[in-house]
Amino acid sequence: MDLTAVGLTTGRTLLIRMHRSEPWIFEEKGNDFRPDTPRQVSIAQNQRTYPSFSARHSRACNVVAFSKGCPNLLAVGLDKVRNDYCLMVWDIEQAMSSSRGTESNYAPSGSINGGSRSASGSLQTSRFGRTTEIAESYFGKDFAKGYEDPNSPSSMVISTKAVHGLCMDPFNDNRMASCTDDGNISIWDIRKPTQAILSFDTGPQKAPLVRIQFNPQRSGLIASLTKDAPCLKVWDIQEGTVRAPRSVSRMDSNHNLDSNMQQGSGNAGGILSRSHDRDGLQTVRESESDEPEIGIPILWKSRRTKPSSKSLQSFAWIPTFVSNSTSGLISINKESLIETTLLKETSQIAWEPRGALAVSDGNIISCFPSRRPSDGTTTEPAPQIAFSEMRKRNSKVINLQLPANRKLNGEVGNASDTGSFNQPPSISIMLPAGLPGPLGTEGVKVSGVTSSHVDANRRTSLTAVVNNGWIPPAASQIDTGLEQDISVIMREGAIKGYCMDAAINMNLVGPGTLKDFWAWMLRAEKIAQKDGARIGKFDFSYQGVLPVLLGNGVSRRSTPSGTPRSMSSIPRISSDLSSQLLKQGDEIPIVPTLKLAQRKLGLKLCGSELYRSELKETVERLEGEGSYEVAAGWAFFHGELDLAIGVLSRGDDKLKLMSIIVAGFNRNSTSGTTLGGLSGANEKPSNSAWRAQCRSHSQEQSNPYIRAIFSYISSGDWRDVLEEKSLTLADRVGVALRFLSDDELMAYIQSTAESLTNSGEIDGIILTGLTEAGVDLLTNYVNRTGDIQTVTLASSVAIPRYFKDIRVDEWVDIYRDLLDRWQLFYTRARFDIARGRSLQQSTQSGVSAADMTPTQIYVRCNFCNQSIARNLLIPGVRGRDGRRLIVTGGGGPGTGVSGAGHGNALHGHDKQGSMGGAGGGVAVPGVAPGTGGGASSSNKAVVCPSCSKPLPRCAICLLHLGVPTEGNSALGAWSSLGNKTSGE
Amino acid sequence: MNQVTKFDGSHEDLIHDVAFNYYGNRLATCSSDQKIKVWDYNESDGIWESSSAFKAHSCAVLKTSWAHPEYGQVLASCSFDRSVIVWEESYHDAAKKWTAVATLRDGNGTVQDVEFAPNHLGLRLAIVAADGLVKIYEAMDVTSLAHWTMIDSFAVGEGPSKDEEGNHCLSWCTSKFTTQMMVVGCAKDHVAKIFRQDPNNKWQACEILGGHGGVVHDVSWAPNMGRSYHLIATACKDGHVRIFKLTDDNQGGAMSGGWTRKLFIVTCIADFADHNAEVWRVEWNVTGTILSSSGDDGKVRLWKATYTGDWKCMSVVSAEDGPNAFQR
Repeated sequence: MDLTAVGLTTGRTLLIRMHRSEPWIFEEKGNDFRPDTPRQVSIAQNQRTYPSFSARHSRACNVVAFSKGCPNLLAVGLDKVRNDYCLMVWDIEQAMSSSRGTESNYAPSGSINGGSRSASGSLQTSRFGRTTEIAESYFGKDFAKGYEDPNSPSSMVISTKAVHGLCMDPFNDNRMASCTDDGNISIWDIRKPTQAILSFDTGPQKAPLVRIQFNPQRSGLIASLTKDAPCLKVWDIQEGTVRAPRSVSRMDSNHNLDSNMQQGSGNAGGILSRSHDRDGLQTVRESESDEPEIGIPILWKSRRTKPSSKSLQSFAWIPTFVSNSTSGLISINKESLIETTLLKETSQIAWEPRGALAVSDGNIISCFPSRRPSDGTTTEPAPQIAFSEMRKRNSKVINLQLPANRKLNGEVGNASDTGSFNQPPSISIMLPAGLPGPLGTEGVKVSGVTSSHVDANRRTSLTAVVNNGWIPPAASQIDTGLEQDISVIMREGAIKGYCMDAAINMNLVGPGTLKDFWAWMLRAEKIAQKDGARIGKFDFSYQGVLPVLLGNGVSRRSTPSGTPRSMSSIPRISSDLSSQLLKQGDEIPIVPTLKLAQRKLGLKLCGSELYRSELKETVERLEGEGSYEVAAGWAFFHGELDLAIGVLSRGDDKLKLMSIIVAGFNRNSTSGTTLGGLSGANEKPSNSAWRAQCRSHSQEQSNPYIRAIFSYISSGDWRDVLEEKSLTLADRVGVALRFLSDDELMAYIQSTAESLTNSGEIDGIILTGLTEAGVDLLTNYVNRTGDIQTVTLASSVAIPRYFKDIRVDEWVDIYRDLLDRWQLFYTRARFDIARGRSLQQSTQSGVSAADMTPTQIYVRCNFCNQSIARNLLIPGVRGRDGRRLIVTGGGGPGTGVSGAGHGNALHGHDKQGSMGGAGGGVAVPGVAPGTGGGASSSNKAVVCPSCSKPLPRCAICLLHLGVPTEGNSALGAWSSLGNKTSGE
Repeated sequence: MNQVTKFDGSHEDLIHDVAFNYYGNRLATCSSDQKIKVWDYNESDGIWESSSAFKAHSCAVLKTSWAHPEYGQVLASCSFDRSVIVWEESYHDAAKKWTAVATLRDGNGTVQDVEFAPNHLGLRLAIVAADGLVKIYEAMDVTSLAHWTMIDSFAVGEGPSKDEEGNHCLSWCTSKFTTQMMVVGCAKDHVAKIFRQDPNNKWQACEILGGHGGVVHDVSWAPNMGRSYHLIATACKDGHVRIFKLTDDNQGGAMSGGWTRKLFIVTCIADFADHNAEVWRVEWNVTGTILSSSGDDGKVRLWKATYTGDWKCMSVVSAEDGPNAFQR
């Protein structure tokens, strides 16, 4: 259809065909009307040539509209005049076939003449339900009318102020919308014409509305344009309930929490047990009345389009399919600039526990995988391009300047185009342009599991450089970053076997601080196993360098660095002892100190060698691997300059050259022994040229070990080496332990520990150890990275074993939940077992496991079902309903004991053990046999403490359970169990 | 699996919510077409397969939430029809069927959000309706699920809110180691509030997350994951995504020992206007390390903290539209 109807003020209505400049040619050329090739049609010139319909009396034609359902019908609204109809419906086919002039004048029903004003405003035809045509028009101010045409004489009259912009809902045959001249939109249901089913204001200032229109694509979207507004507003209307609002308010007043509760509990059985009480009755009453069930729409959302440069004149929905989540609006502003706006629906999002992301786009749901970076669609376009393209596409402006002489005052019609069916929308991911990106640009290629990726861009210098081999940062990969999230990494780690075993973990993680961390864990474990962490009577297992140096007891909190350290508890080692040790030839010398034992333990924790022979082996091994720099640096850090020179001289040319420099330095040093030369740093030749050369040379070096060597020989001060941040912390601390004086060492260690704790660097654990300070550090590490896996696994090694920390308990719990969520049940079980083993070791070493694990079995009375233990409230144990559980363990122990009678203590013991294991892999509660004698005097559990009934009798001796008998280990275990539970 | 898995939700209307179950192997979608569809993940093929679809409500279904799997396969959905329905999957002759086991219909407004409480609190359900009342229901008998008792009910603000401004939302704090808490977006007040139980077990509005320039459309409480602080994200009508950090207020609460309204110091650590349109959803990933937000601009943005703790946009996910009508 390319006909245009033009109503003239004379009352004539012209039909103009738009696709040719010569009007009235019936050939179908198929040329679409295109807004970019505007044509001027001079109506005045060609008036005679157009077919036209004339009204009987000459008067203004206010509105014309084609019928949608029956396109050959044209309705014309005219000014009111006496003795004539002011709404006429023409059949244009008839008009065309019989040339001009033939008028078929459908008479509207008589009520038109009763209308008070002329037909003005707009007029719309639409299709209701069956195939009846209805034309509606506005009359003056107060009425909106509907006519069924042609034959049915019935009409519908709605008396309202909202008489403008009437439009029909294309998705609901009974619904239409209209607006008042002060900005209020009303939604009507034609079955219930007495009252608008929804009415809302479009804005605070009661500005009149120019136009409202339903979206032809999606139900319930109404766009409105306020007069002189630069933007459109879109209203999202959703179907509400079928009940009338009035009944709801009645129900409100009756609504009462108590009655609800009662009714809820009293309403037994039935499937819909909660659709009851007043609410339910109300529904019944309503449905009994004859009112049709009319949905009450609810205004859900509103939004506005981006403002145009000038105020808008008119708009229309674009009826073509853009995508199922996007609808388009075309608008024209006062400068005749036509703009289109795409309205996108908000995507719904959901995260899968494994790290994938589900995004809904209209009807399509996309899951972004987290396992592999996608090679196909997502990486291809350069991100900047993709992004800018997207931004353009988001709100596209077609700069379509119309000729100035053709001012558009009318409405923008819908380009009726059904031919195109667009491709389904595709999904792409891009990085925003210009964002330096925490992840994208400098991502480190990670071979195994690493959790240090979050720090990637800060850490590259550090991670790339440590130990054997220099791994250059891989080329940056652009992917979603989802694969690099800690949740994905932790899950992969769990699958690959990341566990409490430090040796395994070391191989899993890539080089970096995390590897250093696990290396320390491994060393600490070995030291602890060999009982090598004892100094005097203090056990320093899993303690860091700082508590070792401070000489803190096992669970003493380390002193903050600001306060003067307490020397009191440090086991002093006599200086003659240290000199004795010095004499042992193999030992690598350490600077004179009062804390030789502590320093040695610290060095062991840092992985430093204590003996020359061992050092030599390590250096030779490193040489064999070809990493001369590391070997030389390693020897150098132990103060073995000769060894270092030897290593360097075997390297390539550059290293050979270096060996000469270092050898020269060594000769220059006054003292003969290497250690003396190094420690007597202050006597260095203050040759400034030499120093400057060395310094500049050291800065040129890329290898941190070489750099460290040079920075030392330039100044002769080990503190310069400590400043070399690209060395691992273990190396630096080793150097500090070996060469710094006591005071310097403490200051250095304390300040380093503090800064590492605050920044949550996990390798700082070398200094703090798995102490409370260490947990502080781990907390900060978790805060920063979210890597709960590492901290849980590491801290579980030591935490319930040496001391308790509520934070670690939380971590363990959260991590176990997380594994469950990933359905890695076996991994969780293995973790539980490993934790149990760790606990078991601690029970063997004399620490009571009972202090660490909550009681897991309880004995209850046969009569009242209460626990035998007095006033027992089980902390932390709650049932599903959130109530405290009084009894767990299912009465097993009670029957077990009574049935077994005089069965030995081991029976009960075994039972506890197995139940403890079942309850989460925690070790046997430590009920030591033989404690019964002590407990028997005060706590005789002969009667149940709550109901005072006697306890069951033993089947063999017929004594009540709990009666103490001499040497009866079974009862001993029994009463000690009672003690233990009551002690909880 | 290295492609984006895409499938047609085949709903007849707009999808209002997408929800994964606890394990992430089932997916529920709900839509304006009044249906809920459940999808199962096929591990071997790497695709989502339709498991069941059923008409759930007499109006558009707004939100849906999965219960913890220990209670069985249980879904709750809320709708414009003012009801919350609890669904349970049952097997009849090897055919899966979702049955409405309970309908909660005390509200007098659209039920705007529904969420199951974290598992350690039992089988509980919090709902918030347009009238501004949060209600907490608990299943009395977890084996039958037919009886739900309202154990708590509190108003998020003063008086019922008006239609357009009436968007409420809630999110439970999933941490086991704090008292039960939730954050609620309080429609017309333009704030989100944290609610907690006082010593008399009455829910009280405590900390207030302010600074919003409009209605809070969505709130999301990040999984704690052992961190010493909590994170809450809000999506706001003013087009901003905000992240609030809750740190323990050591001076106030711990010293007095009693119950206090100020347990946390609330700081807004991030405020992004990148969407440049109303933001409707915010959602944290499982570890609370990535935040996703979705707005009227049709984009989903992902946010992540850098090494220094600054939150940055990580990527933009977009439903790209095909060649459209205007380019011809």
